[in-house]
Amino acid sequence: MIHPRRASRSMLLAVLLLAALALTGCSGNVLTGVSWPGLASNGTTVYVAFNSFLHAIDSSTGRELWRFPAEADRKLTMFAAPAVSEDGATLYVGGYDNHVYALDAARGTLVWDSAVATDRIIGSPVVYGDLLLVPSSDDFLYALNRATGSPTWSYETASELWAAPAVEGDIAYQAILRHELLALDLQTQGPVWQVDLGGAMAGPPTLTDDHLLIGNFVNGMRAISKDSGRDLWSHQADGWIWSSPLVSQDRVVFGDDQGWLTALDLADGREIWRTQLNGGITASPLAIDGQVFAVTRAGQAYARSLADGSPVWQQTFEEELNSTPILVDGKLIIASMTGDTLLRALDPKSGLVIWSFIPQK
Amino acid sequence: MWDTLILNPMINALLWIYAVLGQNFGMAIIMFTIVIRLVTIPLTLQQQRSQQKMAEMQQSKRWQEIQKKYKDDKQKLQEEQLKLYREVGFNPMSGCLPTLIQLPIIFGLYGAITRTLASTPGQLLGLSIHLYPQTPDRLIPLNSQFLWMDLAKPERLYLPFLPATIGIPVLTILVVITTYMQSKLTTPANPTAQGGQMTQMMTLYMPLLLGYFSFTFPAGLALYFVVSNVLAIVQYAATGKINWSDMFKFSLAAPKK
Repeated sequence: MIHPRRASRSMLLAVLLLAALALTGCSGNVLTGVSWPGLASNGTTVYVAFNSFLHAIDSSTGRELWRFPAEADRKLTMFAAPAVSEDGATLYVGGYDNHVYALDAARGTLVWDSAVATDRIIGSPVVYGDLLLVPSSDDFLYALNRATGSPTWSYETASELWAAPAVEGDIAYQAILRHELLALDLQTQGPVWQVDLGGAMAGPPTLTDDHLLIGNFVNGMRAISKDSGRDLWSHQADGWIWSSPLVSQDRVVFGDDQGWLTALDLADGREIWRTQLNGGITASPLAIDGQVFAVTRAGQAYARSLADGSPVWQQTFEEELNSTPILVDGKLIIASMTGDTLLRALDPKSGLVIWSFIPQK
Repeated sequence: MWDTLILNPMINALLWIYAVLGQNFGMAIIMFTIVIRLVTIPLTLQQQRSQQKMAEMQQSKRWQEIQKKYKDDKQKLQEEQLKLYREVGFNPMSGCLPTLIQLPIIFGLYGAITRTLASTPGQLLGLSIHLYPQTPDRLIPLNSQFLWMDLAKPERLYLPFLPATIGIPVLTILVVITTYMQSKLTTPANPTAQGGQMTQMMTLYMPLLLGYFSFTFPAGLALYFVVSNVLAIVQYAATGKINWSDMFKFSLAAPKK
């Protein structure tokens, strides 16, 4: 016979467990910091930062060359696409542990570790001469010495920075999450101009000769003067624009979270074509040889004609595809946010899978 | 189904309150919790009446006699208890039903707060699918600053005279205290050995469990726990049955041999 005290303890334990399960179950992964993989390459090796590891993958075989860290560290998660130095020898990656890591690109060994930020690093770092520009969720843009990781200067913005700065000459164009776009002189660390675009901006702007192009969650796509921050044209989108637009052959191509892939005339923002894809789009499109590649949250990979948006091929996968694809060694590399397969290399002409990479547990 | 009926309306209502209150998310959580508490007052009152009736019945002479007489025959004991319920016109389910109806509301409220506190791309993407077309996109991302807190992160108060690495978890402390108070003040004493022990243990463990959540999870949740606890105490006090000295009673009914 069960003793009453033991029975009551068991029942209490069950109640507490149920409460804990219900609370954590209701929050799901809401309470954990999650994002999608970030992709980069030095031309022959694919680097993908996702969750606990930064993997280096041979682009010809899909074999893992190394991973950083060698063993998972509960505190360290990485999602931003790493920055690669001009000579391809060093990688820089920001973590959700607020640290920036410099790694030897050939071996994946740690060169330095900087704990300068006080909040997550969601946007990718950018190489600027001898400095590394690091956007942080603590509202600061940090400039670190690339050789040592020591902070050189920092600039406080109005709110969180989720996007990498787009750098041209000595000016950094920085999208600030809470609706503002900043042009910052990197020599003087003073603002050149700052404008409120009225909507959240999670991705960096795309620079052309005359404009910068940026989308947001409210007002669609905008072309803005690089000199003054003045609006040149705008095009209202149906959904949130999460990432940078593609500029190719005088066209601006972008996707929104309602699944619309839209092409505009770079000169005046006039719509040239648009097509509804299956699933919301968070990644930037990619152009190769007159074709546009786009991936969706519903696991679809598309190739469309840049000229008129007509279908070329379409591939269906089971995983959520949120990361901006890259072209490495003639292969289209796509990354999955869900499922076991983290990376796939596709033939850009046919969409057929050349290799897949499933990280070892 | 869950999202359509509970979560989405709550998330959008929370955002609407946030917009009306000048984009102050702390005030929005407080107001939203008050609204939900007001809406569920009839259920809470019914639950309290039922608990009170149950406690009175368990203190009656007849109940004590039944417990004593059939302490070695569980089946007979249950039959007699059911018979007594029928005689006094008490439905044991009348206490559970309001709780069961309130549970989805509480979980929905909790889910709405955690989702709107999105602080990473993945979380924000998760929130976007819950928004109605009428909800203004310009509200995103929410301003999570409230007093000294960032409601999207675990709360700590850093004081100038303390080392920079030592932060005081003020909300966690408030959650532990108010949960304990709410549990002690609003739960009627249970005279049975098992029931009394259970109540006592819940009173001790629930503050610790919610305190752990508050210490670890975003401060917006802890704020909700504190406001919800205070409202529950105020609501109970309004019925005139509150006895503040209950807070300092630690008697544990000893198991009878």
